[in-house]
Amino acid sequence: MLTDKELLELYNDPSSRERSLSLLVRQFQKSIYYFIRRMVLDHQDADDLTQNTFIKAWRGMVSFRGESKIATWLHTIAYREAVTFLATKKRLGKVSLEEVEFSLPAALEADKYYSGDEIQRMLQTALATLPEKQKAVFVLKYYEEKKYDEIADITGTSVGALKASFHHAVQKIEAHLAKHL
Amino acid sequence: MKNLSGNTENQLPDDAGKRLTIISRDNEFSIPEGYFDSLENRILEKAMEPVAEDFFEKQEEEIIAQVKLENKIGKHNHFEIPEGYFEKMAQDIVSSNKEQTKVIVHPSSGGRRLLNRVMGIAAAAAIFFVIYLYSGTADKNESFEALLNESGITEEDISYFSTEEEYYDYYLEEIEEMLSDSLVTGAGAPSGRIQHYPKQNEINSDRAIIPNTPADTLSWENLSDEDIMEYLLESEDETNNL
Repeated sequence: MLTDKELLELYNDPSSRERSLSLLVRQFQKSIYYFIRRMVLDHQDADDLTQNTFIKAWRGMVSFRGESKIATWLHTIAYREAVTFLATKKRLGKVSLEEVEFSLPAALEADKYYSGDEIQRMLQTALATLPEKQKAVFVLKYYEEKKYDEIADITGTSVGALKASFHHAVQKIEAHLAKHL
Repeated sequence: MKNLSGNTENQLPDDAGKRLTIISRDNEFSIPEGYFDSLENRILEKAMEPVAEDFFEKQEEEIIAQVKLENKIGKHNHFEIPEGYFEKMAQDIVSSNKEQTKVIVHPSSGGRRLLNRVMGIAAAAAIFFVIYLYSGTADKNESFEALLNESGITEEDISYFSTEEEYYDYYLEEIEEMLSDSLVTGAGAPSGRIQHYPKQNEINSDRAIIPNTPADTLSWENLSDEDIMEYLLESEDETNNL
């Protein structure tokens, strides 16, 4: 596993720039993919967004100044990609929360790349009803166990707001589970 | 159990709910066989699609140009508020609230959204009013954006919350944090993150985005990751190139 400094050195040398992308992908592909997948649920969507994330990061790395970790930089791009994707999908699809609650569990059950049980499908449905950014905060904190400081860097939000956001997300999920369990 | 982040601890965050604790956090998402083996090559292939010959060289110039432009025209809105606006609004909210205490409303879905939005705006106004009083440094004609900046609450923060109750909870936490910071530092003004926001005299000036850096001396070295990231992610041209 390479350090950020080593990756940047490879990138900054034109002869190894392409190799730096390979190594960047190898090193971070799973964490980025699964973060995006938890956000968008569908594998094909997650695949597209993961590719975009790495390409944007790599092309933009010429200007990366090392003020944050590469992992954080990648998560920031992935976060924006996923949130924008979900917001656009919601705007274009105009699907109500009631419809999501009704159709998502069945869609997940039919998804050959999803193996969650009934209660996990219920949790995913509850997550799908949250605002996109609140969902991202929940995923980063609950599943990825990131610290609030790092989530603040990724989302560009204050730690205070993140704590409140996470707290409210948990409350909404609890309410959803209480209603359906 | 090992989770996705590689952390071997499986403790839930302190404020996770009771029902959540019974749900497994094992990864329930599967992928096509060999997916990660091929992902690298597919990304490489896509990334190597031709870009302009001087793409990487020009990027620096474009980012600096954009930040300079933003400094010049200002990223903040220029709307001023009438004197006493927030005081009056807070009073209106209080009196309006008293009148409506016993009224039960069952709005339609659209109506509920509208109601939430109105309630949210009202609650936000109350937040800004209290922060305004607390800061004690605001000018009478201070812009809404300046108040927003002083409070440390961003529009993005506000968008997280859809009900008055959520705004109110958040407001309490934020104020508590500000007071706590002041007590710890012994200073009159809030410390920490809030200190990084531009002050009133910096807003709409060349120093609003990068404090202490006049626009005419702006160089690549002065730019922060945040400026660069903003450029990269919001550049439609780049998105279209992908």
